[in-house]
Amino acid sequence: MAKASDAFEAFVQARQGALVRMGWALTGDRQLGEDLAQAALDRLWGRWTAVSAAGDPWPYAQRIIVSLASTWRRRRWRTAEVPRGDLPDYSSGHDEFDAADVRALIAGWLAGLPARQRAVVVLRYLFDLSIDDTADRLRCSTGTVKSQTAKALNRLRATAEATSSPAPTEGRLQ
Amino acid sequence: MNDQELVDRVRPALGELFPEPADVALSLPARPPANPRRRASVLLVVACMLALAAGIAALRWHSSAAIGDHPPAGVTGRSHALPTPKIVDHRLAAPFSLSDGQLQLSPPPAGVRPVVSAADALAIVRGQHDLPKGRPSSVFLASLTSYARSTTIDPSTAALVPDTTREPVWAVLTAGVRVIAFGVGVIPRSGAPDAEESPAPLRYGREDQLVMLDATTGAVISGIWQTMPDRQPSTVAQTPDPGVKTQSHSGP
Repeated sequence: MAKASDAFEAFVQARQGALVRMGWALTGDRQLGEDLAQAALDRLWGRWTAVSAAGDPWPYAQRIIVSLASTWRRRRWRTAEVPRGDLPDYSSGHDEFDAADVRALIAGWLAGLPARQRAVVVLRYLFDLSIDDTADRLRCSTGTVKSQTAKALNRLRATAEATSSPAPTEGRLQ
Repeated sequence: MNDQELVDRVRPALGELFPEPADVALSLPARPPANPRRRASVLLVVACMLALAAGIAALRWHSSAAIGDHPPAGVTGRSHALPTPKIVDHRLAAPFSLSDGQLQLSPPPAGVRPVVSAADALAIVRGQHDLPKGRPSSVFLASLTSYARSTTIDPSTAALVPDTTREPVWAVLTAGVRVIAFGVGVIPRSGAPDAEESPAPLRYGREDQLVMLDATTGAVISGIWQTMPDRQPSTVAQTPDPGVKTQSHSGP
């Protein structure tokens, strides 16, 4: 028991930042991300003996947090996106990928994605998982991962084009 | 902009939007982790108890009286067996049909009283069909509408007119009756003595049987059986429609 708790504590120390980051990216809310990470740890600890005996527990922890994020999002305990006090800093240029635009564009794009597509984006492009590993974490096929990725990128492309199109003067921040 | 260019923009932006926080201090859960061995042993005990309960229930069923108020276990245990009738107090409680709707059984009218008793109905069926005595049967009262022999169409409604509409009828349902499977006969070779041909071995199958009697006269109206797929002999399986078959249509 002492060994199990020591190993678990070491795992938490090593991975808690990444867990919170994943929860944050999946929900768009840092505090909610911490709550998710804490809940994931509770669930992981419940199966720690079996999970750690099977190998690296990190993929299993990732699966838990993806599952929890999807569940919490469905329950709508909290909104996935928190209203911002500061408005995004739009530039006046027509290049949708001006440096000042990119973060706001990506944030808006992520906020509008369905949970599954958002999870695919986070796992593949924030945590750099392969298609196979992403499918493993999401418990789906690689084909689903590819199709969800394509849909998400198409939506980003559409968002970018909408942002770059000429807008009414009063609608743009100067 | 192609996908790769998009991804090249997305990756660094995501990293900037969601940097790994360094000031995180998650708390460790207090309760001990679950012991998978203990969980497996608990599941094993539960499975054993369920198996024991199922065995006791099966023994009780087979040792019960010959006239049951519930469908025999064999009827419900097979996916292709006869439909399971809903019976309350020896009366059909919900309608059901057989043989693609050719035979329709519905609950009998309230207050109808059969002349023939359930025990007599069972005795008639057992006498005519030589059902094994140890096999429990379910006897229930119902109303029968049959289209099996109907060839008349009502011109006003363009609907088939039933050839038999009778109430009340006793339905005797017996599951898993062991029967000899009739196969293809052995044809002697030309010029060879018959004695050299080995006879085809007898094969057995099991059937669910449902026999309906007129509850007023005791006459057998029709019988229906279905061969159980798990014991279905190959020669039966090769028939075009191995499903429910009408056995007989005797009676007035």
